[in-house]
Amino acid sequence: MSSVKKIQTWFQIHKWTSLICTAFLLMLCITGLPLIFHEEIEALEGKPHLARQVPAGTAKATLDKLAENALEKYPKKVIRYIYWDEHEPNTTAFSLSDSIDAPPDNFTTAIMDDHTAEVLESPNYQEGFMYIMLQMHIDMFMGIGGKLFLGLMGLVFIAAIVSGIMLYGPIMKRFDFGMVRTERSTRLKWLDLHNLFGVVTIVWGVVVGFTGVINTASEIVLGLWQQGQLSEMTAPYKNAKPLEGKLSSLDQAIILTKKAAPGMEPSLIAYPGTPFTSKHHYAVFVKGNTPLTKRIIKPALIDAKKSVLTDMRDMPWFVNALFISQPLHFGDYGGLPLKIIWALFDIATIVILGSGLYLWFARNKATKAHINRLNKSETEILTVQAQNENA
Amino acid sequence: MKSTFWKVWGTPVIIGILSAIGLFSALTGDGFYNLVSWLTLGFPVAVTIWFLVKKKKTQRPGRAKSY
Repeated sequence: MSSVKKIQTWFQIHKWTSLICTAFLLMLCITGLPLIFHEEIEALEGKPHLARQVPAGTAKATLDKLAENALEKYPKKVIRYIYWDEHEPNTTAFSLSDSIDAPPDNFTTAIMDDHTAEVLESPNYQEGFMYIMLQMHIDMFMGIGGKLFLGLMGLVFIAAIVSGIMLYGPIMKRFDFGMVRTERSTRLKWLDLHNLFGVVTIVWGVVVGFTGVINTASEIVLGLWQQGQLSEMTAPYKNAKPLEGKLSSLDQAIILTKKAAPGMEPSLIAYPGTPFTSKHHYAVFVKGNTPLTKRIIKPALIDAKKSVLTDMRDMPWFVNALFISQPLHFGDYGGLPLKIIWALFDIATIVILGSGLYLWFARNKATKAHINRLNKSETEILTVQAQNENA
Repeated sequence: MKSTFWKVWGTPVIIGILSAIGLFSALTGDGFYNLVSWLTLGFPVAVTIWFLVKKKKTQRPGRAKSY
């Protein structure tokens, strides 16, 4: 293929991949912008730390007591998950639902004080501006189909970046890096800005785009883990009788888990019958303490009747890959300055998408004007010819 | 041939390597590692702003703009 032909091919690829994904990518960039700062926005909304001030050395209530009080507040509901939010120290969150196998969006959250064992707050996470931003960003309110579709758009976006890279070389061959021609025409100015913004955001765009795609596969990852490791771990209980009566102690489950995984902290407990465990076990997920190992979780299965640890394993690589890819997508792993950088890159991406769209229109217009000029001159020639013939 | 490649891709490659270091640095640690990520990822931001400001200054007056 000649080099002109090659450039034309990459141009077509860049044009079409961009046209396909631009509208969705614009939506993702715009909804993603407030999501970067969700913690700061929540703080601005005037939510202080929830936990009550207690004298130093006050003993914490047991987890069983917290569970009892949560159920007292919501007597018709069942607990599905218990988790700890590192941004809300000295609190424990209980996620309660109408039944153990209710749909995922059927839940009420009760945030409990670790010392006083009272329900501090029952925030509704399924309303408000940030919820709409988040849900649009994840699946456009269309469930797993919308989610996987956005994943596909992410892949097309990466193809647009790659084809853009292939065009950058030939375009910039005779020019210096960072050139912005403002005096020639609006189209050239935006072409130069498109190229400059595009080339400095390549690595960020590919990493954030690709980790976003990985996140859209979370249901698939969960399914693979359930079919694989989880079913292996729970195989001995396959034909066991359903659980009846009172479950074993949560505090005991934590003690057993900590003993089996020294130096790790519990981050979530899944109740028997939820998708993250068997019908007979609590699954206690523990995480490490360093910035990297706190992304890698490990499940311990505790028989919820006999209160014994039956199995504990490292997660398969694809689950770890999902969890490690999340901060790289969210930008929430390096303090506020990193979030500001994330926002600037996000805005740069919006400019790239907008200018790309403009360039497509402007190019179309330029091509049409060119054809019109050709037509016009042709008509003129014909008219002159006709006049000459008639003369 | 080789010199053209580096003339076009020199700065973008440096920016790409610094971005990659920055993206992964904050993932592996706190404190110093965060600082590294702010500086390395801040570099492309600074370069872009520098060229945008430079563009304003070098704009030659007196030439008609065509649209």
